[in-house]
Amino acid sequence: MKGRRIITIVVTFIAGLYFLLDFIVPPTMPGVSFQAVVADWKPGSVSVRSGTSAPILYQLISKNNLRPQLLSSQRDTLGKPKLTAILLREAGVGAKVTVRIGPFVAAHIINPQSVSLADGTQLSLSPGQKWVTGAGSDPIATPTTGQPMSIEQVDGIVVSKDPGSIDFISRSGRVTRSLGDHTAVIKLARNGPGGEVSVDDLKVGDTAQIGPATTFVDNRDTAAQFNTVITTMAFGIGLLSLGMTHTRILVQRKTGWYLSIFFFFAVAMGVIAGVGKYEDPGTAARATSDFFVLRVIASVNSAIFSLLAFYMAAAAYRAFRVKTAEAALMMTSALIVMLGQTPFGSYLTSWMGEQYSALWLPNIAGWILRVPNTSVFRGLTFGVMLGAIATALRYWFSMEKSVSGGE
Amino acid sequence: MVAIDEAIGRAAELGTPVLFNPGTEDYTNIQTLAALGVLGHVAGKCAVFGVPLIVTTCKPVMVPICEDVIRSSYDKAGRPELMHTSEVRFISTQSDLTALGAAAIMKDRRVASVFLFGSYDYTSLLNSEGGQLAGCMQIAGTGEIYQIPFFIASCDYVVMVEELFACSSYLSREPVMMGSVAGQDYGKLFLLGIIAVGIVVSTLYGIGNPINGFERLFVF
Repeated sequence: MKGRRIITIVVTFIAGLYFLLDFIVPPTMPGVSFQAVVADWKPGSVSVRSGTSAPILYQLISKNNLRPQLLSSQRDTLGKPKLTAILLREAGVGAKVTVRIGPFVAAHIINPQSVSLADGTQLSLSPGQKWVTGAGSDPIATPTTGQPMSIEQVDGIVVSKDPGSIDFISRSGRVTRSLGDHTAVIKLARNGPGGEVSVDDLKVGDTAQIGPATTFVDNRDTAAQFNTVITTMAFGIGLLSLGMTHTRILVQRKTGWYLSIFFFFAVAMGVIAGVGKYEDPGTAARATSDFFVLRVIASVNSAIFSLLAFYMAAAAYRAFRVKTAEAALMMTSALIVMLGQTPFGSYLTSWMGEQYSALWLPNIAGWILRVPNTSVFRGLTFGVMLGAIATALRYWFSMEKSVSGGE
Repeated sequence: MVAIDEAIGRAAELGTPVLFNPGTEDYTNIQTLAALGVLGHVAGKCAVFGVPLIVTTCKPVMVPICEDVIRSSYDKAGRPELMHTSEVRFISTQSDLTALGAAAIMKDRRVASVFLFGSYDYTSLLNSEGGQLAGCMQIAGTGEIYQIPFFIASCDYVVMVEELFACSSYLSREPVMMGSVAGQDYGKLFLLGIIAVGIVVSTLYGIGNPINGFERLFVF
């Protein structure tokens, strides 16, 4: 027990220290960083190879939506793969990346391998690239007009890269600084700390800072993955624990033992639903998963959500019973606001002329919402802010003894 | 807030448990932290009266935190042996399923009183109507402005907005804690003063106002 406690304390301390340092360590190495006004820049480029085909050279420059985007495959807390945009600096030589161009809408199909856009730009597939739907990763066999689509080179290997360069105007005149493989480009904002950008995101006149990226910035994703691993393990342990508990209930035939059967049934259903979940949509391999997810789980979720409508009706009935002066006031204002937002409310008072337009129901409803309602809302918001500050201070100074312990 | 003791007393008389829900957010939400303060007080009273306490949550991380809060309150009340009568139940990560699970518990265990404190999403009504259907006495408190009407419609007592943050301090009756509540009130007074000044200045000098002293000021 003592050992576990020590491990918990050490891991928590290291994690806390890590996140604290991540907060305070600057994104570029102090002392060797350079900061000045941007005069011009040369975009970076990257060569990506798929299989045995020749590498494809991508110029990383913004042109409509056609800037090649570097994506890295990661998994979320539920293990679902997702593509995350990365900077050129983060894609080292030998790294596995997906490159996506688009989304765009083809105006004309030249042939299954090439299309042209409305502005005359022609896009053609190179070996290793494929058409995909919209901004997603679902492949499509042939390009179509009128529908957003993209070009993707999936799971390519970075063969070489050129990080580009930036021309700065400094006190000593115009200087050109080439970017290294690990150089971070920070665009400084007028207000706030700014953030890391790609070279082609800079504009002439921006103030930028360049320098070697610090380790903490680079390992931010690693820390997030550590969190993902712990969460995934917790899910596994939770499932095992639940399985053991329900097995015990079944074996000992405790009260409501038959409900435990549903647990195992639900787990089996979840496993079946998970098989083929990441296959291409519309394929036979994904049909079973789609059936459980879209036909069973989604339907049950919708049914639960629809319960709200009935509950709302019951609650409204109770709330709108006119028993007191306050209830009557609420009922009246609610009636005016509801009627005022419908065409029927407009119709009810439209017989009054322009000179009495202030008495039209939509205008009265608008006034209620704009004046008394807004003032109350603002008052409540002030209260929330003050209360939140007071509570935060109480926790900070360990005054909230019921939670932070102590006598 | 006095009704909290009344609700626990009702459970003691009926010999049935009370249910506490600390909202749909985790401990990083300030409203959840405020709710934990109330949970500490409720757990302490439950320990004194020997009332079983059930806590339901949709956040797994809240389970050990709530357990610690309850344990601390039972220890403080001098009844640590009754700790086993309380239970913290994680039902589902989905707040609507948790609300339905809690409603089932209210019915099955014949829960006497329900406390809904903390931050709530659209499931506020699912939670409170479950208690209403089970015939529970319900006390709710949230800082989510849009959920307050639902609680008012379904609950017996509602602790509104900043009262939620003052609740645990008020219940503790400690001078230092009460000082923070007084600080909140002085803060509100200060803001009220600024609002009053703003109204006067805006009326006299606001562009587009009927009096429009601003334009008069610059007419030569």
